[in-house]
Order: sequence, then C-alpha cells, then structure tokens
Amino acid sequence: MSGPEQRIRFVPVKNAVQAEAMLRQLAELPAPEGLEDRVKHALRGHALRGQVLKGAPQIGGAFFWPENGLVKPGWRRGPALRALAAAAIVLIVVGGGWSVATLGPREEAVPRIALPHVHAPGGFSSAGAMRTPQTLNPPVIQRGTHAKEKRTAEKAKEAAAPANPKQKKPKAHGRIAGEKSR
Amino acid sequence: MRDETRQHAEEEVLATLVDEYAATLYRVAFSVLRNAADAEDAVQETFLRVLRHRATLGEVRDHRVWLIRIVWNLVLDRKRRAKTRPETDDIADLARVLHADGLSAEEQAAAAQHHAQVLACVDRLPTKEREVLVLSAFEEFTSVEIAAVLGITESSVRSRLFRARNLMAELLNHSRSLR
Repeated sequence: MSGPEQRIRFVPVKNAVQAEAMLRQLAELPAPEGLEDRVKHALRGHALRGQVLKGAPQIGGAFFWPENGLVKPGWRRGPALRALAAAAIVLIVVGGGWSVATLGPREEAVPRIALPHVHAPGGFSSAGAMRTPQTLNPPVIQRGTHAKEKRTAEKAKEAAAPANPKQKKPKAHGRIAGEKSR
Repeated sequence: MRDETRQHAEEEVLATLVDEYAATLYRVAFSVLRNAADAEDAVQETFLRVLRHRATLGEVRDHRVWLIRIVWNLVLDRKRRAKTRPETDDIADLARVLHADGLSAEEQAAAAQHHAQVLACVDRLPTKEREVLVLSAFEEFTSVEIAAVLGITESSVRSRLFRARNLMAELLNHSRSLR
C-alpha cells in the first residue's frame, strides 16, 4: 500500500454524498503489485503439502486427497475392499481386547490380612470396645398370621382329619356287599 | 492419465481465476478490513477455499459473484472476530494511502483522522445498510450483483441504500455538531 498510485486524494467530507465519494475512492484503490503471484505461490504450497500428506479429506479439511499417486482413485468405493477393511478393523479390536484380557493377571482369592490396630499416642482409647456396624433390623414376618394362610392351614387340617368319625371303617379284607360268606 | 489431465485443467482454471479476480477481491476485502495485510490474507484464504472445492467449479454459473461472496463472508467474519485490534492501526493504514502532495505532515494526520471519523460513521450504520453502502461504492458492481452477493432482492438493495444514505447524513451532521 505504499506506491504513489495506491493513494487517495484527501477531500473534506461535508455530507453523505461526499462520504460516499470517499468510500468509492477507497474501493478503487488498486491491489498491491505481485498479489496474484503470491496467491498462486500459496496455493501451490498448499497443493504440494496436500500431496505429501496423503489421507486428508478433499472438502472441509486443509488439504485434499491426491488423485494420482500410490493410491488409486475409487478404491474406497469398492464394496469388497471396504468390507475387508471393516473386518480387519473388527479383528484387530477384538483380538487386541482378547489378548489384553488373557494376558492380564487373574484375580485370585487373596486372604485378607487383618492389621493390628495401633493406637495413636495421646489419643483416646476404645477401651477394648468392639465397633459393630449399625444395621437395621429386618421386618419379621409372622407366618400364619395372614388370614389366607390361616384358612389354608385349616383346610389342610380338615382334609387330614376323617370326614365322619362315627362312620365305620370298611374292613380291611372286606367282601363285596351282598356276598355271602362261604 | 485422465486424472492428471483433469487436475491440470483445474489448476489452469484456478490460475485464471486468480489472474482475473484477485485484485477485485483484494479491494473488497480492503474496503471492509481497511488493512492491507489482512486484505491480502483474506484473498489467499478465499482461493484456498476454492482449491478445496475445486471439484464444484464446473457447477458455478458466475465465478465473479461466487468469489466476491466468499471473500465478503470471510472478511465480515474476520472483522467480527478482530474487534480487539486498536482503531489506530486502521488510521495509520489510511494515512499511508492518503495523497501526500501539497499536504504537510500535520495536514496528513488531520486528513487521516477525518477519514477515520467518516469510516467510524459508516461503522455505526446498521449492518444491513452498511453492507449495501460499502458494496455500492464499487462502481463495477451492479445492483443485481450486490443482491446476489448479499443474498437479497434487487429492490431490497435499493431501499437499504436509500436508508443508508439518510442515516449517514444524520450521523455526519451529529458528529459535526459535537465538534
């Protein structure tokens, strides 16, 4: 912006029209020399970096996918190759997890060692009192108090008891009724 | 081989776009940012975006309007984020572009201050009116093109420009009465 052709003439602004004229003058300022070359140079630099760093996305990233090189275009679209790549990723993840799980130390029942309680000097002693955890007493359900249970118990008793205590029991070697003894 | 040819063609199109529109984009960027280095950065960023989306170049109908729209959005975003930069930088940059013939150093400084005050009035305009006023300062842009860049109708451009001029006159009168 230092060239003599890149300067605007000072016009004292008195009204909006003159202010607009000043804006127009600012808008007409020519671009600095060599701007196009510098822009092209920057673009070339980015394009080269894009070719070196293979694997960057074309849209949304800073670089673009190289379309001529070791990687042939369109390989990512092959369904078989994509499935193979997905399977390989799954195998690697599952295999890695499995190997970590098998190689790691197994938990065994380690007997707990009760450390002796050491009283701090100058502190209060517990006088041998054992601390018992405060637990709530669970509710005790009295069996048979429930009316239904009572009824079922009675029914069971009735079923066990003889239906008619006065009725004679049939003889063990009973004969068929009406059969005469020989 | 076909890819190489295609890439070569894309590079040629991009180079043509740079040759044809870099200066215009710079002027648009400078009119908003008012700083030479920032304006050049904005132009480079614009063409980098084009490079990234070069596959869609064939779908663009009007490259000029498309590029101006990209740089316009970019510089507005930069302007919004660069609120922390002191305004004295802008004034110093303006002093450099002022015509020096027949003006003493003091007069130059006063002129730069005066321009800065006018630009401060422009900055005080509502966003919609300001955008139209700044773009209308480019004589090569038609109202249709301004409408396309801003994404509004041509009649909206005209009404906003009318409002901008009225507001600008009020602000200038107000600033003069304060002095």
